[in-house]
Amino acid sequence: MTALEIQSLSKSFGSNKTVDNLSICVEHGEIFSLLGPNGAGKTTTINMITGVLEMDEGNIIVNGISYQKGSSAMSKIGVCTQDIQLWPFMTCEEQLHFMGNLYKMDNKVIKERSLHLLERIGLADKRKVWAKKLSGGMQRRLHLIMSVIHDPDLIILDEPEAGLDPQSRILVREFIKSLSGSKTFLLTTHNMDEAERLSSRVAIMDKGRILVCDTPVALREKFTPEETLEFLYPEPIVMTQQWESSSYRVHMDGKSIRVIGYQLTLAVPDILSKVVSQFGHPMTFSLRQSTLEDVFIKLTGRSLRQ
Amino acid sequence: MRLLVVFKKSIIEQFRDSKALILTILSPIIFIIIFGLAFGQGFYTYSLGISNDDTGALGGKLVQEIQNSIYPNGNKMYDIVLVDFDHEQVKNDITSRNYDAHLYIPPHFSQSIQQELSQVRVPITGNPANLSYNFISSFVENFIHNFIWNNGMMTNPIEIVYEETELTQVKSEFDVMAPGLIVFSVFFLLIQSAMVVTKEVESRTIQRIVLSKVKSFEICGGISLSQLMLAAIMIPLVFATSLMLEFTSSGSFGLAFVISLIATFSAIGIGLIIASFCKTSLEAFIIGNVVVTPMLFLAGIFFEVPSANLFTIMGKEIDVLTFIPTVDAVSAMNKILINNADFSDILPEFIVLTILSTGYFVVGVYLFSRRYMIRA
Repeated sequence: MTALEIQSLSKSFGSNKTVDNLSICVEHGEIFSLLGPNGAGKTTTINMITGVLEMDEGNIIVNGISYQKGSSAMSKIGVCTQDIQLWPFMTCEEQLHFMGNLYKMDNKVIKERSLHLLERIGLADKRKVWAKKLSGGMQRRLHLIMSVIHDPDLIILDEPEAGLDPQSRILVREFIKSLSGSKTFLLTTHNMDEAERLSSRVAIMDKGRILVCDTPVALREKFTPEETLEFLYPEPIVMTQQWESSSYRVHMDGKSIRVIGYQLTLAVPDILSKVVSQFGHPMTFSLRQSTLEDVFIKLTGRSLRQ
Repeated sequence: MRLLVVFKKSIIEQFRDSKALILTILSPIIFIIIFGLAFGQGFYTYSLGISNDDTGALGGKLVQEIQNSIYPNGNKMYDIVLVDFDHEQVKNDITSRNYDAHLYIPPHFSQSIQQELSQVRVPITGNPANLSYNFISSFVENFIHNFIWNNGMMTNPIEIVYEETELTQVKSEFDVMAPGLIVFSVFFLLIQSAMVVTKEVESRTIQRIVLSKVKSFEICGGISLSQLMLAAIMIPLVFATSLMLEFTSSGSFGLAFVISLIATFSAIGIGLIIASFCKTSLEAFIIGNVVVTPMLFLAGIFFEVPSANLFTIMGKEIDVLTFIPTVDAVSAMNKILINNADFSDILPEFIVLTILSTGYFVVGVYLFSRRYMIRA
């Protein structure tokens, strides 16, 4: 079942087309990540989905209900923006109750759900504390559960792990994963590791358009299927003898040697003996598969954006 | 009802932000204290109308001497306006503040003094609610006694008669200003209201509220109620401070309280309008001040502002300034607290003020909706 379908969505600001004929389809229960460099059009897309920004053209279908230009805001969407949106002089509990009341929820349900969410996110003992007195990480966690207090079907998270310490990141990630399946997530992030760990599918966009859309594994296999074997030495090294191989390439950069090729696992003993015979034993070495970041850089380039 | 939810939330925020709360409540009290101390004792050039019907020379001499009288620092004591005597015209001139008091020198003034004939009545007319009249009458009476003495008379044939256009007595300039200042002390909530909205914009919490599909009226209504509650606390405190500064009034404080609250509502409406054009609370603060300051001076608390009449409703002249809500609020407060007016006496002001307040609130809600809710 499709939870969110975007058809030919476009938005321009003056002569600048920020979102250009964008179409994506997110299935119910999926965690779908929208990746892109700054200025790619991610936030504009989200703002059009939530109804904060009016679309120029296109169609957005949320749980079967279609919205076009001029339609009112979509209900049952939870939005966790990148900026923390809290009322500094209200306690965690009061903030959740206020939002619940705005969504016309029953007071008993609000109370139960607030307590449940605060426990899930590790803030149960802080429920009577004003938001301004919470640490940055705690505020971000509270900000996250504020967006789901009304039990929305579609949850949009903009950089949910930004500014969190590793412990909080794991907590938030587990919280999101626990809701997936019953809820649909649309995630935007610059953290490729976060996207790769959480997402069932990923769309990479640039200049208002979707470049690719698939699972992280499929994208890696399609765009950066190579593996990298890297050796690190304590001192800079110089290659005296050229390596010839049709199955991999060798790059030297100061204290490191990087060997890039397909299915390097089988060739590791051979390469290692060559390296040791020429430069001695390395300090460390590692074999890694390409990451979503490699895919992202390959598709969007290295040039800096806005 | 979501309006009450927003109201409750605004109240919580309002009362927990102790620094802002103390400043908000203290500002009008400080405001009223400053004016109370500054204007508790009058000192300026008074405007005096004089009609000289004396057939002799002493009347003219008296006028000349009054005209030339100065304070020790060299400032003129009086601006003299010479008018032909007409009782009704004098009353009208005093009402419209053409001069603060009127001195009538009768035909036999010189004769009575020079020939020591029977006593002659010299009336000094004015509005007792106008402090200047109280000063002028005292100064002029003293002046005339000195004048008689200096002209060699041992007995004084002059009988000074005070003719008052109203029944009230005031003790100081502060008594005259206080009703208007009380309105203004809460009118500063205009700035506060604008800042409450822009704070939501700055912290982007407005987006959360908007996404919940709450209506503009519910948001603005909730915020307005919280500001009105603050005003309901501030008004008695400001009244009490005024009384401590020896403001005297036997008018209805209950009625004055209601007028002040309605004035606050109009201030909130204007605050919402300002918020619709601002992106930050600092911007709202600056624009709010720019709006409030002219309103303070155009409301007629410190000086009479020339009117530009447009039309008349129920005997009340509607001029350009009528659209400034403080003008009617100050007028109503003056009538209630100085002239002991009851509700029927201030009905025209009450109606205009209520219409203006509602109008400003509706425009405020509309602009708020356009600015923050239209796409949502």
